[in-house]
Amino acid sequence: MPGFVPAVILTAVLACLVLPPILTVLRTSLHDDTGSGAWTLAGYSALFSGSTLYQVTWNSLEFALLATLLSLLNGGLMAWLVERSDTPLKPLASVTAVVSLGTPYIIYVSAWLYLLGRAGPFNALYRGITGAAGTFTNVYSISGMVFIEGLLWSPLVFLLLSATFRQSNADMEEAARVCGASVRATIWRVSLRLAAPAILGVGLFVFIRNLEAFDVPVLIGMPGHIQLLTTNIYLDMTQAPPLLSRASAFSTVLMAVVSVLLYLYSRVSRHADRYASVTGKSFRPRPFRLGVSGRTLGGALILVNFLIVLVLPMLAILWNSFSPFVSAMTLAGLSRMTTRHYAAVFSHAEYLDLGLNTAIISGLAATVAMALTGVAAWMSVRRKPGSQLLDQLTSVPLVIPGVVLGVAVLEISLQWVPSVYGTVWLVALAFVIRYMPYGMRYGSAGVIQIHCELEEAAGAAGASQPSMLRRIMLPLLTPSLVAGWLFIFLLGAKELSIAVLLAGPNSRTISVAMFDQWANGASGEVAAMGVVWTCIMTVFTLGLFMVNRRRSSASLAGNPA
Amino acid sequence: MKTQDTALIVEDLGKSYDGSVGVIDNISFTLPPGSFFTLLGPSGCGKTTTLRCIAGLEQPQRGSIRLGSDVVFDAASRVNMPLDRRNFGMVFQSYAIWPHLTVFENVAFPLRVSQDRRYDKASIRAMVDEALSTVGLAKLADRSATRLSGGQQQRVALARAIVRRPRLLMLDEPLSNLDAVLREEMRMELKRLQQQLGITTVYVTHDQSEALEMSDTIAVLNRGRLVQLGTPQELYFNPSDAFVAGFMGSPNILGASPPGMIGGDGLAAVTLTDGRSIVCRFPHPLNANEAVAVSVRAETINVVSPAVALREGHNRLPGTVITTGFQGEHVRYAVDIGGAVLQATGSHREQFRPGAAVALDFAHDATLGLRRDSHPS
Repeated sequence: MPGFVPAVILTAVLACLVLPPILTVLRTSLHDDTGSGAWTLAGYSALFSGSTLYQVTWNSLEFALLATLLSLLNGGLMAWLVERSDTPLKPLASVTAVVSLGTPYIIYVSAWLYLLGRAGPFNALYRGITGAAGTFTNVYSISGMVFIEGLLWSPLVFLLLSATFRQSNADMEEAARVCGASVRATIWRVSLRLAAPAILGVGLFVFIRNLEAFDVPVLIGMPGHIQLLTTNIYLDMTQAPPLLSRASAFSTVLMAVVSVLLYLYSRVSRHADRYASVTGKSFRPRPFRLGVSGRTLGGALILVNFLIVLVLPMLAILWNSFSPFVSAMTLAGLSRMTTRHYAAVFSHAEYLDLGLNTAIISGLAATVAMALTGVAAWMSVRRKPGSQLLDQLTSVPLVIPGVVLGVAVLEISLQWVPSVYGTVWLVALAFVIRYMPYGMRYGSAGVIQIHCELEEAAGAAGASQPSMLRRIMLPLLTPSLVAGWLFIFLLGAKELSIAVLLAGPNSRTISVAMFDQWANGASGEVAAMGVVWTCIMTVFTLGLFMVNRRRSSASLAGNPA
Repeated sequence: MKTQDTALIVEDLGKSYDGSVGVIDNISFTLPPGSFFTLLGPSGCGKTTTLRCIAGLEQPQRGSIRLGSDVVFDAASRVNMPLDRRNFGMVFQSYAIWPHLTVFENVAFPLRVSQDRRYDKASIRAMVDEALSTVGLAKLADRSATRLSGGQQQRVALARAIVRRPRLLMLDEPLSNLDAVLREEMRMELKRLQQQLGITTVYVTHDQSEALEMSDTIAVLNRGRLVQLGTPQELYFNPSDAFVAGFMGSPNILGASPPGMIGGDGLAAVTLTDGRSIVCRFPHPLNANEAVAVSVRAETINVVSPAVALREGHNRLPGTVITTGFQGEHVRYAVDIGGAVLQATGSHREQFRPGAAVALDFAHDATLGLRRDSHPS
C-alpha cells in the first residue's frame, strides 16, 4: 500500500462530511421552492430587493460588535487582573468562568430575562425607590441583548486571554521597567501593544460567534421583534411551508460574511505568532504591584463580576426552580417555596430520556470528531504524503453558522435519507461536522508539542509505524484528545441552534426541551432542570480544567527549548 | 559624569523563596568604579537572583545595596528605590527586544519613558544614533525588530541598555543564546565596549572560560552563598575549596587525610585515601584536623615512562593508561592509579597505548590541598 493512501482516504471522508452542507445550501438558494428544479436567482433578488436584509444585517452587526466589545472589556480586564496583577479574590474569577462555561445558555438567558424583566428584582427595586409604576429598562431591546450576550461570552474571553497573559514573556515588561518606564507606561507601551494581536484575534473570534449567535436572538430578539440574520433564517425554516430558498440565500450571505471575517482572523493570528520571541529562563511572570487603592479597585471589580456573571443568575434560577410560579424575589415568596419542580424533573422518565439523548449525542459527536481530527492532526502536522488538504477541510465548518448547518443537514436528510430525520444519529452527525475545527485545534496543538524525534526514536528502536502510533503517539497525545473531547462534549450539551432544527420528538436534547418549555411558559421546571444540568456540567468543566492544567505542565516538562 | 565615579557596594544580601532554587544568603562585595565583575556559578546557585536584586526586579529580605553615597536598597531602614528610578542598564538572557517596535524605537524607549528628564527629538535621535553606532548597528535603525538575527538582537539589547548612560550595566547570561563562533566574537566585543564606556558592569554566567577571559573580579556562588571572590588569576591558581577548583575546570579531585604541620613554604604531606602520600601546597589556611581535597589540573600532570627518574619537588604516582585522546600538541590520558582515575597530559612525542604502565609526574606547587566545602550544608 503506497504511503499516501491512508491520508487520501481520510481526506475523502472529511470531504464527504463538510462539503455537502455548503453545496446543499448554495444549490437550494439557487432554486425556487416549488420543486420545479429550475435554476433561478429569485431567492437572492427577493433578498436584496426588500429592506429586510439590510435592516437584519445592520441589527446583527450592531448586536455582535457591541456584545464583543463588552465581553472583551469584561473578560480581558478579569484575565489581566488574575494573571498579571496582585489583586485579591482571584479564585472568584476562575470559579465564575468554570461554572458559567457549564451553564446552558438558555438557562442563563432566562435567568437574566427574569432578573431584568417586569417581575424581576431590578424593576421591583426601581418601583420601590421611585414610586413609579413602569419599568426602568426594557430587556427586549438591542441593549438588553448586547448586555446578556456580552456576559455570556465573558468567561470564554477570560480563559483565552488568560492563556495569552500567562504565556507572555515577562522579560519584555521587566526590560521596560529597568529602562525607566513606570508601571503605567509599561502597561501602555509594552504589555498592551504586545497583547494587541491576541486581543484582536479573540475579538474577531467572539465577533464571528456573536454574528452566528442563536440563543439570545431567539429568546430575547424575537419577543422584542428584533430580527437578526440567524433568527430570520430560523423563522423562514419553521414557517409552513418553509421558505427554503430564501433561508438558503440568507445562509449564503451569512457564510460569505463569516468567511471574510475568518480570513481576517487567520491573518491576525499569523501576525500574533510572529510576536512570539525567544524566551529566556522560566521565571514566572511577576505580577504588577498595584498598590493599595489599585488592589482594592481590582478586588472590587472581580467581586462585581462574580456577582453579575455568576451569583445573580444562579440565584434567579434557584429562586425560580423553588417558586411555584414566576414571582418577585420577596420574603413572602420564600414561604411559598416548593420542591415540586425538582420532584417532576427526577420522577418523569421524559427528563431522564432528555439527559440520555444529550449525553449520547454529545458523547458520540465528541468521540467521532476527536478520532477523525486526532489522526488528521497527526498527518497534517507531520506533513505525511497526501495530507495537504486535511487542515483546510477540517476548518471548513467554521464558516457554517449553527443555524445554517441545521438547515443544510435537514435538507440533505429530507432529500436522501428521510428515515434518519428526527433521530439522535442525525443530530450527532451535524455536531461532528460543527465541532471538527475545535477537535483539530486540540489535536494539532497536542501533536506539535510532541517533538518528532520522539517518533523517530521509536522508529530507530525498531517499532513499526502502527506500533509507534499505539505505544508512543497515542499515550502522549491522550491528554490533548481528552481535553478536546471534553470541550466538544460541553459545547454539544449546550448547543441549541442545530438541535432545535434537527431533533425529533424522541431525540430532543436538554437545551431543546428547555427551549420548548420556556416557549410554553413552564419556567419552574426549566429552572429546576437547568440547576441539575448545570451541576452535572460543572463537573465536566472541572475535568476539562484539570486535564488542561496537566497538559500545560506536561508540555513544559517535555520541551526543554 | 559624577555619578559614574561611584562604587557599587552590596552588603549581606539575602533572599529566600518558598522553594530552594534561587535562594541567596549573606552576599557581600564592593566594586570599584569601571570594573567588570562576574557572578559565576552553576544553575540555581543564586547568581541571577543576586543580579535581579541589584536591578530591583526582586526585593531582597536582608542587606543593602549602595551605589556610592546613594542607597538603592536597605532592608534595615526600609529603603527600596523603585527599579524604574535606578537608571541601571540591563541586557536580558532572552534580549527582550520588543517585536512591535523598530530597532530605533527599541533603543529610544528608555529616553521616551524617562521620568527624570524630557529628551527632545534631536537629542533622542543623537543619543540613539550614538548607541547604535557604538554597537555597530547604525545601518539597521529602521528595521523591524522581528527581522534580526540573534547576534543583532543582542547588539540592540546592548544599545538599549547603554543609551541613557546608566550608572551600572547588568548582563544576564547574554551570550548563552548565541552559537559558538558568535559567542567568541561577542566576548571580545563586550569587553572592548565596557572599557570604552568605562561603565561598572555586573555580568552573570555559568561559563568559567567566559568569566576568566572578561572579568576584573569574579565571585563564585554555590547554593546561594559566595564561595570565593577574587581576580581570575586568584581563582584559577588558588581556589578556596574543591568546589571552586572543580568549577574552574580541574577534573582531578582526590580525598586525603588532614595534613601535618604546614611549612613556611605552604607545603605539607597528606595521605590519600588509598594510603599513598603526596606533598601539597596549601593556598589557604585550614582548620586543625580538617580532611582535605587534593586538586591537580590535568595539564599539570605529566604522563611519563616509569623509567624516568623522579625530579626534585615533584609527586609521582604509578598507574595504567585507560584511554588516550589526541589533542594536537598534547595527548590527553585517563590513567587508573588504583581506586581513582586521573586526567593527565602527555607529549605527542611519546605516546602510550591503553594498558601501558606509566608514571604520573606533577609538581608539589601544582598540587593543591583545599577545603572540601567552605559551606557544608
